[in-house]
Amino acid sequence: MSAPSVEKGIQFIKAQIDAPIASFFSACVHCGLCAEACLFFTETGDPKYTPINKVEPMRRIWEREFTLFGRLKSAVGLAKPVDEDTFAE
Amino acid sequence: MDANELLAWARGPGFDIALIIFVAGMLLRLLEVISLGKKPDLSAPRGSGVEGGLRTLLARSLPRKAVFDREPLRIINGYVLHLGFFIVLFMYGPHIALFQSILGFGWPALPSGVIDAVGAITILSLVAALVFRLNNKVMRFLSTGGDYVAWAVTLLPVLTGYLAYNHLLLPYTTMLAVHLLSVELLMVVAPFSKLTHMFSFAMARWHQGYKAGQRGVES
Amino acid sequence: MDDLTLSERLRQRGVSRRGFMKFCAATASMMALPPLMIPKIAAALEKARRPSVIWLSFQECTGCTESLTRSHAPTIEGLIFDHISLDYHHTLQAAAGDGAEHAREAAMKENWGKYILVVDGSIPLGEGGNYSAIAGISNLHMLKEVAEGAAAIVSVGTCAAFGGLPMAKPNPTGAVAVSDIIKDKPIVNVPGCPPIPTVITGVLAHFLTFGRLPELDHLHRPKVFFGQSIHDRCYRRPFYERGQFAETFDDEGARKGWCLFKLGCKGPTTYNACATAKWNQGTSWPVEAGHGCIGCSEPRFWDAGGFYQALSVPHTKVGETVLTAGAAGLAIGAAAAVLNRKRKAGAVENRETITVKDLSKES
Repeated sequence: MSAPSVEKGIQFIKAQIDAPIASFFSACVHCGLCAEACLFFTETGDPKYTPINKVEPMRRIWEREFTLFGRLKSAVGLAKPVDEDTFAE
Repeated sequence: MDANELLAWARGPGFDIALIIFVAGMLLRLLEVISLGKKPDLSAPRGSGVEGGLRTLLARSLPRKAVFDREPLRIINGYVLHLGFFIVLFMYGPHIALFQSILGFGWPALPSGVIDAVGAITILSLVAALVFRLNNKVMRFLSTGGDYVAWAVTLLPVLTGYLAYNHLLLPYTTMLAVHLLSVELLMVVAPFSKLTHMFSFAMARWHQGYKAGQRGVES
Repeated sequence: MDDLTLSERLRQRGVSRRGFMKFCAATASMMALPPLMIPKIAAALEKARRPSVIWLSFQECTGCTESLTRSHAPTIEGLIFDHISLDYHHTLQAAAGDGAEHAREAAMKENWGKYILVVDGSIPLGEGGNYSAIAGISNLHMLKEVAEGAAAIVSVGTCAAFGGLPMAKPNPTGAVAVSDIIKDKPIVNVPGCPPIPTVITGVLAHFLTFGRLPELDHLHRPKVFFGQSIHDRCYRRPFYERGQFAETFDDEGARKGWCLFKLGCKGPTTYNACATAKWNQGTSWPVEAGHGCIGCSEPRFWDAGGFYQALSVPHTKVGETVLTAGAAGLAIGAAAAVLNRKRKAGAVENRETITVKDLSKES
């Protein structure tokens, strides 16, 4: 995947984020119970298939782009970047 | 600074600062979410979104059987933790006096002994929650520093309240001041952590239910 | 100064041996001493000579002295008071003017290193200590001078112990407590506005009995009297435990004697003996009379919020704070909302179709 493609992807995800999606992220307490409802997890037992983890890049973009705290975090360089590796996962 | 001064600060400027951050911060967080709007839904609704939203708002307080069967302990502990926290927060006489001073009306209090016992159960439940988080591979994988901070700032008010009531560890006046300060810490942290779920859970459930209602499916 | 011992003096006054022993027992129980100590107290008091006491009144209201004198006739505490040689106390002594000051100087000289100094009232440090003076001598100067020859100092009342009312914000006279000035003498604080008379006499009785000061807490208060909070010894405590609170001073709860916490009682954070020793010869005490404790024996009680505000309620204007915070939150939130909408619109506009080529790893 090339850099412009990553940029395209981020742009696409940004456009996808709306109030329902943002409300899901802001209400998530990392209880991990969604894993129990996911076939990929129940079959493989690998926590990376936990549904909320699969949308982690989207969550990071939401935090960085649409929350004050996230903007501050990336301004001081604390936020995990969303790059090629993130999507490669 | 002696205990009396610390208490006076916690009951005065300290509380004001925390309250401002809590109220303003929470409003900011909610507006940030609401302002993103909704993607247009081009399909014709098959059911009522409002009805679905309201139904889910309540229904999601009950566990799903399939998930409950897989993780009964964690789900029960979740109930104990939340109910315990609410009982201690809303049913203790001195706490009611605080809400009364803001809202203008109060309600009957539970006996202190009951609150004391519920407080102890809540503390144990919070400890259990941490044990679950550390022992479950999914939760350990998902957990960030923020999850542990949120856990600590939730535990502190309950713990210090319990210690103050039972005259443990520190002189009462000092412990009372520490208790108030820990509540203020919780209020400051809440808008900038996953503790926003205390309000945003309602939005999330509403949207989920609304969508399901429009599609005419169960949620 | 006569040389009668206490027991001789008591007999002169017509107090029986039985009455004297009863007093010793009361003193022992008040100070939480075992019954074995009663004969020891009696023996010590019987043999005790009159110690010289110099009482200095600084920035005060004479309430402490009023309280002390109320402990008197016909109770036996009064006799203990007779038994000390009160050589200087400008409210109670007969002498005035120069005569009074000479009495103080003479007592100091005669009992140098042995006398007890009692202080009520705070000491002003502002304007070079010139806010308060006696016979042309500033309070600060007199305290230092008299403290130097004292065996021990008893700070009677919240003003002398912690600064009290004069030290309350904005403290125009720069008032401080005795312990802020005197660092090299044993000091006992007997706070209260005013202090309980039996607690004042109890401390003196302890000194007479054992020749030393009672055990003190971190605020230099005698533990026997200030070891427990009003709340912990309050007879209304069961109502607190049951969650039954008076909401106003004349509601049903108030009439039924329910807990006064919500009416601002500071009992939980106040350490004093009112609930057990009571006032006016054990007649009653504030909470029994239907009014919450105002915490008068605690440091800075004047600045600890309203007397009628519950301890769990902030003493600032919470309603206004919520409104201000709400307005601020809406303003910041609106700004964030506008920014979010702009970003969102920008993203939607710049969105390009993602092709298979974008997703393939080789490109």
